[in-house]
Parts: sequence; C-alpha cells; structure tokens
Amino acid sequence: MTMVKEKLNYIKEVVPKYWPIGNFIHHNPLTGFEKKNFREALKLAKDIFEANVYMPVNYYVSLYEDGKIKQHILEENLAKVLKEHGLSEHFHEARTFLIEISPRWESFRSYKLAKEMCPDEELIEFLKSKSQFKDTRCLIEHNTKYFTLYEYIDAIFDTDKKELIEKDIIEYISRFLDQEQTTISMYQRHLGMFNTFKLYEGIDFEGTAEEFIEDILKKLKIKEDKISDYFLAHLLKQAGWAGFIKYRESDDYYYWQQEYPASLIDYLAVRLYYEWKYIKNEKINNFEELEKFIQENKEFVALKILKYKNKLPPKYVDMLENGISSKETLKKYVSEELELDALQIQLSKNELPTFEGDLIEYARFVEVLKEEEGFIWLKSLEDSYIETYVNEFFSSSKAPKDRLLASLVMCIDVRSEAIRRYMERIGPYDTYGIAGFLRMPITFIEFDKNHEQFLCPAIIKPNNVIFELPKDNLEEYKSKKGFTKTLKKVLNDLKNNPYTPFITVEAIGWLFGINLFGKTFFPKQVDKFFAKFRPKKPKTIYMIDKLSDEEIELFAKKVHFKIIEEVASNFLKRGLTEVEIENIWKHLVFGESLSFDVPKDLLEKLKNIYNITKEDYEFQKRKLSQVGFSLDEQVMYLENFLKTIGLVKNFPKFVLIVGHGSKSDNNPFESALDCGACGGNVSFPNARTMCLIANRKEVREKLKERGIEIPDDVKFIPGLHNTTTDEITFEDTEILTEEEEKLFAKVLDDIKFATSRSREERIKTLPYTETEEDIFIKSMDWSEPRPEWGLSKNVAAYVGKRESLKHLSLYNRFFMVSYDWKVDDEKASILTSLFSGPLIVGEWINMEHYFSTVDNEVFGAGSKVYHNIVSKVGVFYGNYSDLKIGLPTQTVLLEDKPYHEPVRLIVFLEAPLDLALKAAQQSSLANPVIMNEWIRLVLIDEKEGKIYKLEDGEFKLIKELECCIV
Amino acid sequence: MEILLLILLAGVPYYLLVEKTLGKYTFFVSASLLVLGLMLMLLTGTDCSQNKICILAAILTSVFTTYKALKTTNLYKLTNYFIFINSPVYFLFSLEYFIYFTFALLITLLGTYLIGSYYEKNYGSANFYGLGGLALEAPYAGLFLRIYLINLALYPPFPNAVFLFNSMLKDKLDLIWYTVIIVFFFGNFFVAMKILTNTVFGKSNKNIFYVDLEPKEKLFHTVLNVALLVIGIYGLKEVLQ
Repeated sequence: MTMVKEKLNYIKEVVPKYWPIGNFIHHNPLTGFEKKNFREALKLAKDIFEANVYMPVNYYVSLYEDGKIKQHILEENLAKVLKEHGLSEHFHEARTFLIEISPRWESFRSYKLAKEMCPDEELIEFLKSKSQFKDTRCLIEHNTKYFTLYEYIDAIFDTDKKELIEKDIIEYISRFLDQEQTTISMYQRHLGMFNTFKLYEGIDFEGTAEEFIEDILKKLKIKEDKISDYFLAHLLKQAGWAGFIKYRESDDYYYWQQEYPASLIDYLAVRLYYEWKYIKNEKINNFEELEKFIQENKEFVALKILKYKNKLPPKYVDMLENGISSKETLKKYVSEELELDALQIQLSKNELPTFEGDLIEYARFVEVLKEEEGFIWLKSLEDSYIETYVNEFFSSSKAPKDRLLASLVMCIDVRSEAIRRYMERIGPYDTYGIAGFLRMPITFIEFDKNHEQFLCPAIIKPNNVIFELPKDNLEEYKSKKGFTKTLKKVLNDLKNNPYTPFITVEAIGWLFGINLFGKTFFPKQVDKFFAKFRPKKPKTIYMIDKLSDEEIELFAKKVHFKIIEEVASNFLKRGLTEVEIENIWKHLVFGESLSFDVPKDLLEKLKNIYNITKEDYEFQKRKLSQVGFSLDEQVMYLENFLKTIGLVKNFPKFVLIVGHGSKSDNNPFESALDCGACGGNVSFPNARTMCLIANRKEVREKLKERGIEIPDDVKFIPGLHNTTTDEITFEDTEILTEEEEKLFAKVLDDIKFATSRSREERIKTLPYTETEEDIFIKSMDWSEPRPEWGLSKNVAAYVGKRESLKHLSLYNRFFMVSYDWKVDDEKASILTSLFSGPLIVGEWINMEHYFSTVDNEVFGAGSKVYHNIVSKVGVFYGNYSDLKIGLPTQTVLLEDKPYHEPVRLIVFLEAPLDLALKAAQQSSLANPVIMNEWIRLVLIDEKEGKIYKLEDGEFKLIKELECCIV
Repeated sequence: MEILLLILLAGVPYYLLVEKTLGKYTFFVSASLLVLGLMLMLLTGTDCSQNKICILAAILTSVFTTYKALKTTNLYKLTNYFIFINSPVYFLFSLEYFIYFTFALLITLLGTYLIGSYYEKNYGSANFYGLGGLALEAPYAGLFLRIYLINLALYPPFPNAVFLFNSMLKDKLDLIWYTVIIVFFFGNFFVAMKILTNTVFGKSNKNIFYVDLEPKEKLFHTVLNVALLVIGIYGLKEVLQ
C-alpha cells in the first residue's frame, strides 16, 4: 500500500458516507465512530466536527419540568456519573447545578458583572494551568486543529484564499460528478476524476493521483506524522462532497461510478492542487515557513487566529485595528478571559452555598458536570421512556379464537402504527410489521424505466432481478407518453439553446404562469387537470420465474444480434441476413472464421465500442440468470417472510401485504420519506412479488412439506400506503372470486375508516393543517416544505408479538417489528437477520434524526428554502457550497424548536436472553451498535419472566414480570 | 465662506486628525460641525452647488471615507464615516432638502451610535466583528439596527432615499450630479450592507452570550424611529406634490 493510501485509510472512517438524494439513505453520520462507545465517540466527534452532540441544557430542563424526564431517574444517572469521578458527596449540589445553574451558565460570564467583582487569583492560576491559555503555543494549537495552510494564511494576512479555493474545487467536482443535470457535460469524464482534472486544468503530470499528492505534500513541507490529519482537515472542509465521493467509491454497482470513476484520493489531489495553486506565490507557502513565522510572531498569530475563528471579543479586534502591540493585546485578552472564567465559577458557586470545598474543588466539580451533563440528561430521558413503556406494554389481550378476515402486513416504519392500531380496533383483523423489503432483496426494473432499483437495505446487494412488463394494450399509454416526451424535449431544447430562451419566455412564458399560479392557489384542481395528460401506467405483470438456460442464451444472443444488425447496416449501407449476423457474432465471441468479407473497422467498432465480446456475452448471461426466482428460492423467501412475522398458522381469509411510499411536489427529499428498508424507494414491488409467490399453488405445496400450511382459500393481496395522504390502494384484486370481492369490499371500507382516523391524528401535529383535505393538498402543493413529518419523533422499536402493545396508542413513534422467538430456531437465525437488517436501518434512521436535530448546521441539511439541486446528487446552498448531508430543518424542527425528540433508538426485544446474545454475537453489523450502546436494548425475557436493560456491556435486571406475557 | 463650509461639511482635513484623539466621541464633533455648517448656510444663504472645487473635494472625501469605512467594523467609527460618505450631497441639495436630509441622517446615525454603545456595554466594544446573527439572538437590537441601516443604504421609502430621489427629480442633473449619485449611492449602500450582513444577519457566534436591549433603550430607539417616520412622511408628501 502506498503512503498516501495508508494515511488516508487511517482517517477515512471519520467522514460519513452520503448517498445520492434520489435514493436518500438515512444513515448515522458517525458510522465511522460506531466501534467506540456512544458516550466516548460523541466526545471525539464533538472535537473533530466542532459540533454540538447533545441538545442545549435548557431543552432537557424543560422536559424535566414537564415530567418527561423523571426525577428519580435523573438522580440515579447523576449519582452514577458522580461516583465515576469520585464526587458523590456533592450529589445535592450537582442536582441543583444541573437543573438551576447550568441553564443560566453563560449569564454568569458577563463583562458587565466582571467590572463589579474581583476574581480569585488562585482560581485564575488553576484555570490557566488546565486551559488553552497555558501558553501562546498551546492557544494556537488549540484553535488550529484541522487547519489547512490556506486557512492559516487567510487568518494571518486577512486574505480570502479559502473562498477562492473552495469555489474552484466545488465547481470542478460538481461538474465532474454531474448526473445529467447539465446539458453540456464535462469532456472526457470516463478517464476518471484525476485524469479529467489534469485536462481541465492543463496539468502536465505523468504519474498517478497518489504521486501527485506526494509531490504537493513535499512542496507544502508537511511532517510525515501530520499527513493523516492534514488529509482529514481537507476532507472536513467539504465533508458532504467527500462523503458522496466516499459512497461512490464504495459502490461497485453505481452506474455513474462505473462510467466516470472518482475516488477520495482523486478528490484530495484536486484539493491539494488548488491549495498549492493559490498559495505558491505567497510569502508563506509551506509549513516550515509558517512555523518560522509563528515562532517570530506568536502573539500576533494567536490573535489573528482567534479573530478568524470569531473567538476574539470585539474590543481586542479594535486593539488589533488600532495597531496596539500584539503582546500587550494578547496578554490583556488572556487575563480577561481567565478572569471571566474565574468569575463565572465564583458567581455560580455563590448560588450553591451548601457546596463544601474551596473554589478549586468547585471548579473541578463544574468541569466534570459540564462535560457529562449532556449524556446524563440524554440517558435520563431515554431511561424515563424505558420505565414508562415497560410498565405499559403488557395487557391480558388474547389471540382471537375465530378466523380473522384479514391480516395487514405493513412495513415496520413508524408511520404505519396508527393505521394498524385502528384496524385492529374496528374489526376481525390483526397486523404485522416487517422491514419493507420483506427479507427478500430484489433488483427491480420498472416498466418503461431503464434503471435498476435495489429494493433492500443499503448494506445488502440483491441477487434476483424482477422485471415489470405490460399486460394491457399499450396504445393509449404510448400516445400520451409520446406527446409529453416530445413536449418536454421541445421545451428543454428551447430553454437550453443559447439563442432561444429569451424568445421562449416572451412567446410561451405565460403558459408556465398557469402552472405557477394554479399550483400555488388551486393545487388540487390543477393536479386533477394535469393528471388527464399524464400517461396512465398500463396493467403490468412481474417476471418472477427463472429463465431456462435456453432462454438465457437466446436473450443474451438477441441483445448482441440487435446491436450487430444496427451497427453493421449503418456501416455497410445494406441490410444483413440472419446468417451473416450470426457469423459476425460467432467470429467476435468465439473467434470462428468469417464466411464473408467484413471490414476490419466494423469489427473493431463492434468489439471495442459496442462490447460484442465473449466476456460481455458471459456477463449478459449471468445477468439474465438473475432474473426471477427458482421455485426453491420462492419457497425459501415466503417461508422466511412468514416465520419472521410469526404467521405460520391460523391464516386469515386475506393477507394484505402493504408497501409504502410518499407523494409530494417540488421536494428533493421525497425519497427520504420512502421506505428506508428498500434503499429509499417505494416498497410496493417487494409486496407484490411476495403476494405473487404466496398465491402460487406449487409454492404452497412445497411450503406445506416444510410445515407451513396455507389454506387454498387464503389470498395474498399487495397494497401501497401513501404515507403523505395515508391512502392505501390495492392491486391484483382480479384474482378474487365474486364472493371474495364482497368480503374484500368490507376490508376496504374498514381500511378507509382506519386511514381517515390516522389522518385525523396527524392533523394535530402538522402545522397549518386543519382538515383531512389539507393533508391531501400538502401532497400536491409545490410550496409545501413539510408535506409530512416522515419519521420524525421516532423513539423506539418493538421487536416482538403485537399482543404486547396492542392496547397502546403510540402515535407513530415506534418501529414495530413482528417477531415470535418461539418460531425462531436454536441458532436465532431470524433474530440475527432482524439485527443485521431492520435494526441497523432503524438505528441509521434514528441517528440521522438525532444528529440533524442536535446540530443541523453540521450534521443536517439546513433550511429547504435555500436549497438548490446540484448535479442531481444532492442539494447545496446558493450557487456553491458543501453538499448538504442529513435532514433539512423542516423535518426535525418546528418554528426553530425541535419537533423531533433526539434520543437513541430504544429497542424493546421479546426474546430469551441466550437467544438475544447469540444473535448479537452472530451479527457483525449489529454487534458494535448494540454493545457500544448506539441503541438502547431492553430485553423482555418471558421465559425467565425478567426484563433486562443493556448498560455498560451488561444486561441489568430492571423488572421481574408478575405473569408471563401471552 | 465656501472653504469654511468645506471644512465643516466635508471634514477636510480634520476628521483624520481628531479621530485618534477623540475616539468614540468623534461622531459628536463631526455631527456638531455639520449642524454648524448647516446653520451658516442658512444664515448666509450660501449656495455651493455651482462650486465645482468644493464638490470635487467632497467627492474625494466621500470616496476615501467609503474606503476607510469598508476597512473597519467599529460602529462608532462608522457613524462618523457616514457623515462624510454623504458629504457631496450637502453641497448639491437645495437648502430645504439639506435640512431635512441632515436631520434624518443624524437621527439615523445617532440610533446606530447608540446600538454601538449597546455593543460596547454588553460585548466590550462597539466593534461588530464576529458578532453575527443579532436578528435572531437579540431581536430588538437587530430590528432597530436593521431600520437604521436600510435607511442609510438608501432604500425607499425611508427618508434618506426619499430626499435624494426628490432632489434628483427636481434638480437639473449634470455630470457632477451623476458622479455624486454613483459615489454617494454605492458608498452608502455597500457600507450599510456590509454591517447588515455581518452583524444583523449571518451566523450567531457560539462564543458570545447575547443580550437584548433594555426597556429604556427600546423606548429611546422607538422615539428615534418615530422621528424618522415623520420626516419620511414629509418627504413622501413632497414627492407626491
């Protein structure tokens, strides 16, 4: 491994991956830290990202005052932390400090009060010895962690290099990474990011990107042991772009990466090139020069850096402006800062008269509390939820004796909770929750779409491909599609041609006004009107069976034959017979001799440009062999599905498998509202595929041999839940008999009622929504930044039987995963797969919401109002900025206050302790997440009648069950 | 008389000399001299609008002051500089507009100066460097400073803009007028916008504990704003006539 790669690998983990916005993947921005304990990782992340990792104390205090954080729990957690630090004797003072003093902490640090009080000299000395103010060197180092050389120059000499450098970098990478947003693409992108960059900037360099980096590092004279940190400093400057490139680099299946490869090394080469370009002519252009300058002007540099970081109070900025000596200014600044720190401690101590100990002891006490208070509050909030729910879960509800009319199987997504609850309460129904991909990862190719959708969690790659093919007459669809396609093309051409936009606006601009005003003032009517022009998708079928070997060969050949026919006809200016085509093909693929004269140029073209080769033929065959499922696979997936949810007997008349997706207008984040377990896509194809499989006679017969008997009259019907409007629609109902249709009509009525109640519930939390009608309008309104709350406010996941929480209203805050440990095997296979799939997806969703709430500026995407789509990969602010990762403020905040309650995902798991331990050990993905407490695991062991909480690597008993759960 | 007026109204060359010695009080000296100049003009009826040397000197003062204003982030200094950024129009405006304009300007600058003293009291200096996000963190201070700056940036219908546009409509414009408008307009606009974007808007500074205006201060700024409103209404009436 080269030096550059080695150094980069060392820090690569810190940068969070960012998936393209079209398939928004909720993820933990601190995934790279998951190998560390949550509490320790957050301390580290706070330092690296200079971000908030907990909510402000005021937020927690208000939850405490509202009773959400329970007093005894707060006290327990506080006592534990105090014990860790040997401060147990100050328990009462610590509690008062957390609740009363800490929220006002900054108010004790006031210039006004400083004039009236005298600070304690001994305390000042103590604070100095512990702080960045120890000496000037320490002050500089403390404030320049992850500083690039151009930032030093900007800070010291008041230049704007950073602005110029970052702008150039963003301009290049956004053009290189473009996914057909622009009409004129960058030239020669297939050469890769670095090679294209060399052409772009006219760089005469023969070597690789790594050698190029090494070359610049030499020019910058960076010490060997600082290189990794310097790479990290560069990557953190535009963490969003770096994260996206990191994602591309890691996904071999990503089309754009295959076409136009990019890597973090290339990106670093680009960054370092621009850095060198803009600083090479400066007085200081390497770290040795910088070091020399700092040595000679320590105080001046320290002040300039403090000013650059907005840490220098205004009056010292004045002193700098007025040319007062740096030494004197810095001395004054340091002494005033220390005095203020000391006074802050003295003043706050005055409010704790019972604190026994001197000021220095108190300072140590405050230091511990300020460091740990975020975690104490967060854990107390989580523990309060755990205590509340654990006491509420179990009811004496029993499984019904009569046969149910329908079972509703929905995604574990929190937004299904209300509908499931209402359905269960109004009729002979039960409901199940399973991750939307139904434990059946598929690659889906939708009708009339050319791209693949991976319908499974982002961490899995599917092996089966499902094609959607039309069943109906396509005439009407084709004609409408043709019309809209032509219209779009004409408008695009007019818009993008350099000469026509002005005339276009003058001539037909008013037409857009109809859309603009219509969508703004009458969104419903306009949507209805335009729907008439949209081509309606015809009835379709899915190809769920495997192709035979002959069919595979035939189709693979056909693809090649078609290409040869078209290319050769154009080249030779005549039509080719089938024998001639086959002869050319056999020559190119199997090296057989040609029976007629074919120009060498044509053969070269077919081979090199159109890839008619043996390798491609084998590749096509391999791809085609992935289409559909074998019978065994179908049985296996259906069995997995049924066992996972625990539906293995007492089948109802209808099993309704409902996927979900969202609908909104003008919303780049729409896919964030789709199914997270399907890689940010709509999960309907998985539901439909599973129903098609489950309705097959031969599958049921084979399944019977494995011990699961599905009666013949049971019908599986696929549905789609629109989470924005809470409508559920069903397909493939033509398989129902007349009698069944009547029964199904009753189910539909009940679903209509349940969804209406769910909407009523949501009206209460959605701003500017008073009626159900408003909810529908939100899905069509292009000015609506918050069409739905999505997964905001998620707090917990329940993995177990539905009966345990059926009686509770959980207000769309729980991921509800159906699991019956009695159905699982001894190896805990089902639980292991739940840990590796849904649990990780849930944790990523939860952590994304957590960090986007605690520091939206660093981990979130900011306000949607300023977003512009860039390169079709994400959004940025204005006309250039870092790629915005995470969630927008409109998803997690309401009027600048947190709507989402940031807590770690509390996972309530109904399983015996040994089974849970086995599953946790087996799942390499979930193990660090569980053991390092990125989720809070609460284990309900009904076998032993005990409830445990995982804490500090141990399962601690929190409750004994009086009676066993049903 | 015209040379005396040049000294009083355009500060040539005194303001560079007194700035260091008088510190934050320079504004009051400059404002007093401006009012003195105004009274002299009133009493003597001197009209400098045709004295090209005076106007040229005032334009140079304005350009130089704009440059200086763009270099500083101290509100005390800036209030003083605004007097001189506007100096060419004192010579070009008709006496009546000169009076109203000067009143509106001085009221606005007094308000800005008081915001500077609020900065000094709460954050240690009238320098706003690094003190962003006032509109969110201290909404009242942010609101009042915003009004003053929008007035200084010559946004209609605030009085400064109204009197300028009135004069442009009523006077016969020549090359000097055009030059003055460019210098005057861009000078005021850029400097005011610089303050607006850096302290009223922008990111709030996590290292600073923000405090808003006290009730007494709010009341005083409200009075200043009412005065500005009255002058503005008068100016609008003039436009409509």
